[in-house]
Amino acid sequence: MDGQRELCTFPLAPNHKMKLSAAGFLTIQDLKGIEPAQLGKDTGLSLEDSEGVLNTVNVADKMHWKSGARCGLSALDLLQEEQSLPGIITFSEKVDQMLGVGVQLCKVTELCGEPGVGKTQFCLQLAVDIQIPTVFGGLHGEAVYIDTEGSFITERLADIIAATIRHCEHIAQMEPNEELLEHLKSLTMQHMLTGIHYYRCYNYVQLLAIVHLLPAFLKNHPKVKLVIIDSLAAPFHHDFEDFSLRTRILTSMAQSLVKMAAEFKISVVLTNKMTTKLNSSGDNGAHLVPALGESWGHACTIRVNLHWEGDQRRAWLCKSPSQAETTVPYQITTGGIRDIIMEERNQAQNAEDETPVKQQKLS
Amino acid sequence: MAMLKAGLCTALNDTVLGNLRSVGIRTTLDLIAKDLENVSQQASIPYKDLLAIRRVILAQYSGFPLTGAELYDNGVLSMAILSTGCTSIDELLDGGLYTAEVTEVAGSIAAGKTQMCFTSAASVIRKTKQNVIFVDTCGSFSAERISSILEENGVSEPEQLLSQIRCFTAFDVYELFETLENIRHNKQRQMDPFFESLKLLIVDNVASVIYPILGGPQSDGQSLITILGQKLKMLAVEFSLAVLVTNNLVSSEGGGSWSASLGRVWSHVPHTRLVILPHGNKSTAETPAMGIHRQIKIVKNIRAPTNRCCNFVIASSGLSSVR
Repeated sequence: MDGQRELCTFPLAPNHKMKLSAAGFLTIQDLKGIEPAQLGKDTGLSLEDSEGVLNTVNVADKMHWKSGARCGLSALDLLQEEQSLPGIITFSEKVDQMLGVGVQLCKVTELCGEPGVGKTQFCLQLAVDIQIPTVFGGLHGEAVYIDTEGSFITERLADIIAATIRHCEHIAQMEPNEELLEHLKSLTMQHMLTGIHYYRCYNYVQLLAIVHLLPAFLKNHPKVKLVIIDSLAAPFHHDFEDFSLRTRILTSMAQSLVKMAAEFKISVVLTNKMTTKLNSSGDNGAHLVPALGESWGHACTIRVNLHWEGDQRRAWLCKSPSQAETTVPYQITTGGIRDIIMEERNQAQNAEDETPVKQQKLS
Repeated sequence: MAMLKAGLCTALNDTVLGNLRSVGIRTTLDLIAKDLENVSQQASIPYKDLLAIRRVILAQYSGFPLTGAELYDNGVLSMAILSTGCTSIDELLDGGLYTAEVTEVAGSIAAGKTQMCFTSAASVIRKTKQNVIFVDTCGSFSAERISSILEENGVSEPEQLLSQIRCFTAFDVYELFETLENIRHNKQRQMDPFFESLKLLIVDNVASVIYPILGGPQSDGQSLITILGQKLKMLAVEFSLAVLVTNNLVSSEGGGSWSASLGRVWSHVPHTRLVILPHGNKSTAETPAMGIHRQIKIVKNIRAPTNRCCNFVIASSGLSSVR
């Protein structure tokens, strides 16, 4: 430890920083071996504040030197890690391919789209899929579902769970072995419903509080591999006169979610609404853009835009650091999100045998 | 100002320091600003000693003049120009990314900022034996993507090259400071061979750590921006690194014109600023096989004329130029 880091680069209160620098305390070196009482005398800070300052600096410094983080991680190690991470399947092969291996762990994915296009359906589907046992190609995890709009409908969820269980039974029938059958027994409606931790949240203060407390929750529930916020836009849509405050809250919340995703190796899925933007030139009229503004658009690592093309639903991957921009069709059936199956495709390949029913969003 | 410390010069021992403190002199600035005769009487320190101490302090804390010739020689010796991996952008930048300079690329959502970082990193490790540090503030780092860029550029075993890139994550501005401090520390200690041949430092994206602290009743945000700018430039100059940072693009009040975000204070930090121009909303999705077309403009530069544009395409091999 060479103690050259300046104190102004630590998360200290601005007035504490000023007092420290006025008294000549500029770097960690200057604080070495000093007692809180002495520091208080030298700077005019209260004893409590001095203790706080010394704690912040020491903790930040020590934690950091202990962990191996100071040399960084080699891209080679990260490549191996990335390749070993499974994704959360969506039950639409095309959407999975578009996203790489399904919805990625360690990343924040934003789904935006008009009402009724299937954002909530995607969320419900993912909350179920995350629980599929590993032998059936799932992650055997649990999900946290933060509902801000009251669009979480348990009956709909039950439909999707039933279809998912049928799908697993199908696999077990096709290649019956002990292990699969064993897992199938534990795969019940009851079990899958328990695997979803549901929060109902009415305003942005509650949402902030939940996001703040989530790391502790995730520590106690290591099985949770997916956090869903449906929708993020709702609590931020109104009640905001100060737009710079909204930006600050949104971006700092986004940073904590990005951090959470990386730290706990979980996937975070958010939904966002569309809003009308008037073209500045005025000649083209207006078009739909995701809500919450330009600066928010940068916050999520992956953005998927869901929209209608004629009478077909399409998912457009419009932002991703690793995958190319693509658009794929999908549909919503009673069983959840599915590919649009072409006539000539071998039906036996598909575990689902329901007739595709176009279903309007229930909420 | 810095604190007065025992051992700064022979005359400044613990007793003298104690005496000075008793008359309220703690920092170097206090001592220099005071009338030494008065101090000498009040603190009962010989006037001669005080003069000697002051001389040492002034020498220690002042800058040294360098001649232009020396600077030029230093520059010629240590300067390197790193290719961004895209010929048209290299031309725009008069060769590529210069060491000892901070280059910024600003763009709107999914404009290709991160892809430019990946392509530059891949190009540096592929063409030179130099190392790259990638500081990821928004979870966008993808080793798989870099690996596939390398493969597309004819590297048969990209794994071997990938250990030349190291990735740090920093999700708030304080973590970013910590990371930069680390890099400085490692560079100075010269223990880790990786840092010996470090030439490119990428921070993607600066705006994501600044936004949460910008504005509001506290003025702390602006001062943190200033410090961040200083730190980046210090690393660039002191260790002869090329620094590439990304920034967001915001539309101005009336709409229509676009500029890089983070305001005026930050706008003075980068030596070179590139802007990826906003693109039409969806037209690009139609022809994925052709790659995604973008236009990039240079808006600030020391040596090349500004306000020139060039086109590039985001393809599976990273950014490449189109005529």
